[in-house]
Amino acid sequence: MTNFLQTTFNGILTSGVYIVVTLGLALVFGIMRIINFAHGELVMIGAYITYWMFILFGVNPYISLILDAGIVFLIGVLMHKLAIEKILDAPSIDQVLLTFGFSVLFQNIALILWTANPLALSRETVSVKIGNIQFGKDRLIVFIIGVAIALILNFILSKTKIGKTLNAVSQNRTASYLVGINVPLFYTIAFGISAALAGIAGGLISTVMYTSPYVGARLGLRAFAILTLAGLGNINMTLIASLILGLSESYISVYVPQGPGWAEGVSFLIILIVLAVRPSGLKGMRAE
Amino acid sequence: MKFKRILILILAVSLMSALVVWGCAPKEEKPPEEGTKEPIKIGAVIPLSGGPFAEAGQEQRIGLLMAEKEINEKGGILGRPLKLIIEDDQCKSETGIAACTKLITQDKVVALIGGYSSTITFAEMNAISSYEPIVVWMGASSVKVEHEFGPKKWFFHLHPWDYHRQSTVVEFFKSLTPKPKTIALTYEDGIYGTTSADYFRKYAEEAGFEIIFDEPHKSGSSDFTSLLTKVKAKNPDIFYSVSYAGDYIIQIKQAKEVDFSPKLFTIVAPLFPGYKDSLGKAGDYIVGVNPWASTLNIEGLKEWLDRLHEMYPEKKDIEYWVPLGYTNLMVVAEAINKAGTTDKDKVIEALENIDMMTPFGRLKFEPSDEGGLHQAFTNLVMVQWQNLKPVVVFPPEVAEGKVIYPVPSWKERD
Amino acid sequence: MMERNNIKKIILSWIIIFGISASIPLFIGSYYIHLATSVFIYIALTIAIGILAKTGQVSIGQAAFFGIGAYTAAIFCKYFGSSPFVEFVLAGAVSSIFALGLGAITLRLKGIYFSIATLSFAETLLVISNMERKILGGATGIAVPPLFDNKILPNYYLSLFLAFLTLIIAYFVSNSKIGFASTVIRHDERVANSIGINPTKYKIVAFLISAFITGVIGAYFMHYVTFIVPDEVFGLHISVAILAMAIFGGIYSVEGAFIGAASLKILEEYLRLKIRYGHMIGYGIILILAVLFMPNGVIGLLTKGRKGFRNPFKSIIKRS
Repeated sequence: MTNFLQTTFNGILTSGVYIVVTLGLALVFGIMRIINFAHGELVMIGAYITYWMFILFGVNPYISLILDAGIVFLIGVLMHKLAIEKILDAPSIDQVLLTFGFSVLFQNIALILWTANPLALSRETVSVKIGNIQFGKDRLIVFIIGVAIALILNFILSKTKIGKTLNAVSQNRTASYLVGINVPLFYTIAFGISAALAGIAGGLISTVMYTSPYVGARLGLRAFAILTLAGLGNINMTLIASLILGLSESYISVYVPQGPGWAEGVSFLIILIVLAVRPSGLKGMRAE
Repeated sequence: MKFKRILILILAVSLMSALVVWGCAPKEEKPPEEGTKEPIKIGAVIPLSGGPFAEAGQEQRIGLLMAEKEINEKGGILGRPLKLIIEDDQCKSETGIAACTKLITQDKVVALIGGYSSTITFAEMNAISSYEPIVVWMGASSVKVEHEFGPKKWFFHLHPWDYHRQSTVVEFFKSLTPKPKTIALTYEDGIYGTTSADYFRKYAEEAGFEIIFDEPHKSGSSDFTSLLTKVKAKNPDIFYSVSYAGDYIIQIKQAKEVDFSPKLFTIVAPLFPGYKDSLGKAGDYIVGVNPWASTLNIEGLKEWLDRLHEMYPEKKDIEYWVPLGYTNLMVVAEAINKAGTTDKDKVIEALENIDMMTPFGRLKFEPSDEGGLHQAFTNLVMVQWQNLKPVVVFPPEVAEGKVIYPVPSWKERD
Repeated sequence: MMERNNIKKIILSWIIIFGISASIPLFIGSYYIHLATSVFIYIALTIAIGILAKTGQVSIGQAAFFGIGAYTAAIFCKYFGSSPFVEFVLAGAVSSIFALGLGAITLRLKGIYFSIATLSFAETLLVISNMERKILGGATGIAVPPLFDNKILPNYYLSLFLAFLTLIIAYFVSNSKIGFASTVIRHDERVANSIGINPTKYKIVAFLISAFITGVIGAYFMHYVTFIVPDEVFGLHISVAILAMAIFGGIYSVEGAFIGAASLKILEEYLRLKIRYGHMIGYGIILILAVLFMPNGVIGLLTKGRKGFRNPFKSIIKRS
């Protein structure tokens, strides 16, 4: 039978992609409670930036990550200041529609500018063998970077002053004003950082997948699923939820007949079950 | 306050009326009289947005526009200018239905061309069959369409059907020496992959191959390592994947990552734009089935490619949809010219008798195996990437090189 | 009360509107009739989502019931040779049953959690219908013969009738105890409880009605396009389109649903025709602007006048 260890490792590496994509959303939705349906498209933009930097100027994709973070950060800030900020107090469905509008906008601009063709970096694929396990170097790098960012983010949010302020602002806006916190600034920065994280995710995606106008849509949806599983507001749980999803998809693909066809459906079934049984997710705290 | 409600309703009425007004404004024109200088209109419905199908639609569009330009430079059709109206079906059946209906009833096109998705084609043809328009279609490979519309006297079809494609693949496998025994099959779980797999299974089993792995996968997925690991464990002679360009990029890269190297890795449509750039050396030795290759010995093909590169210098490599789109418009223009009129029956007659060279190959409409009356292209070729170049390796009549089989393992290549 | 008279006036106005719509085909070509049919389909779907939305539960998984309706109709047509009328009723009924099941699990979820649950439900059904080959046809989809032999006029009148029926149902619901209860529940469930309204009961009723209508429309759609694959009826794009129309028009009123569906559909087609290549960019911009400037949708703009218009340049945060 197929090597269990190999399958497990495959699943872990798959979750790397999920982790990097979900982190930005965990910040903006999990903490700030802003619904961003355009998160996947921000990832897509990051992927395109890395692609063009590589093709036109030969920039190493890992160095491009800085550029991805920077440019998409600015795009996020613009999105926020121009639109999202205005409807922070509106019912959440307004945020759904607004960010959906952005996602349509970004997808179709990309479609016109760069066509629907999937574009991949012409870099050599490196395979690494450790014991009985065979895997791609790039995917391992994505996983490691993902976990690293998650841990850093968690640290910032729980231990540093900025992080605690962010938590405070999202929990009680009025009180935050009263103690003199510049609330609008914090929201803007938080959204910008979430966008930057999306950009980084996109750059990493570019190294292990391809980029196309539609590459962000599915990943974005996955991210919402992971957040639901994890429970909002907890970065560590997001990490674990991503792993669970990646591993379950891998196991189902291998051990269930016709598995690869069912694997995705299972993630949504998991969401449904989690919501039915324990809406606050793995985190376990009271959801609002 | 309640006045406001009535106001709304008045607005609602106005909205509906606006729909009417918009509808009435351009009065339906009578088809132009013979001998006028009125343009001849041909309508094309292709996917240009709304999903990954837009990839092919954009290629089709290039071919169509090139043909339109060349036709008009040569004086148009029957001495009248050609007006090509391209409609985007947005990858949705309802939009396709509306677009086809509009082209036929509002724009009064002489013929309807284009097409890509079998599902949308089915919906569109059902909606417009009562008009019995001239349809010369370059899309749809599903036999469902052939069964339902193939027998119609007004339906002409260019693209090979799914069974043509799969039988070519199986014939190719049969021709390999030493003859392979086991095949691992995977296919994208949409209608394209599933139907292709159905036919492949049938032909492969008839030919005596053993399919030791047979599972679908999800197109657009970020990870195929589990699938590939599973297949690797079965150790098949041949690995055959029916999927889309983006998925192939990942599958081929990840095959290298998990060190999976069957004696032959086979795909469909291996000449997608960016293949070489995306995969580099990892893309070597892959074989794929394609209805066309730019290196085929087709009369006029080289000159056509030159003209294409002049018109679209930024397009470095092209998929077969470009020459197919070009051919689609060309054959209709040719038929109308031959008929000497836009009269429907005469044009249909001209189409039935047409025998012309196109960049896609020789075009002649013949009946096909499952009920279609007018099928143009049925032959496909197998292309193998060798040293970063695509080489036609099958069938022997048009092959320009020999297939490398079995292919070297990943270690041997490095 | 004054209400009654106005209701009669309103219903009369709608009858006039639909009367006009019924005579439209005499003046316009088939293309516009197809367009109008699409509009009616979405009007009904948007009204349906509104019935549930009134209770505060926003579903982004309406495609689930749309698909259930479509497949139910297809199954009964193909394997039992049922008549279309029977199919439609069954489609609605089966959708409602599913809604009952889903509602039991999810209706106590609040806000975005409920929405995600409905989304997950639709996506799960998508995968199941894609993999189930024997009955549902799997990825190769399922086909049924067209209604009325594909004659366009009867199809048009049927869709018009369905939209009209949905409108009447919606009006009755909103003017009944259900409508009143829904509004109270949306604003504060505790208040609802204190005046003797059981939120769960009314939410489920609203959900059932919403699902029933959506299922029937799904059945109609099945016959309109004659051939479907899972993604066409269960796809996320359908759920989002319905949601967009509802919010654009004004999600809490029937008139809003009507205007939202009609205007967005017509707008989309207009853009598609005018801007051959890249029209969806315009669509995205319109959605963004609509949310920014019209917090209560088009309806809000019309009924509330200045209050319905939001000046996005006054930041809400600063105000609080």
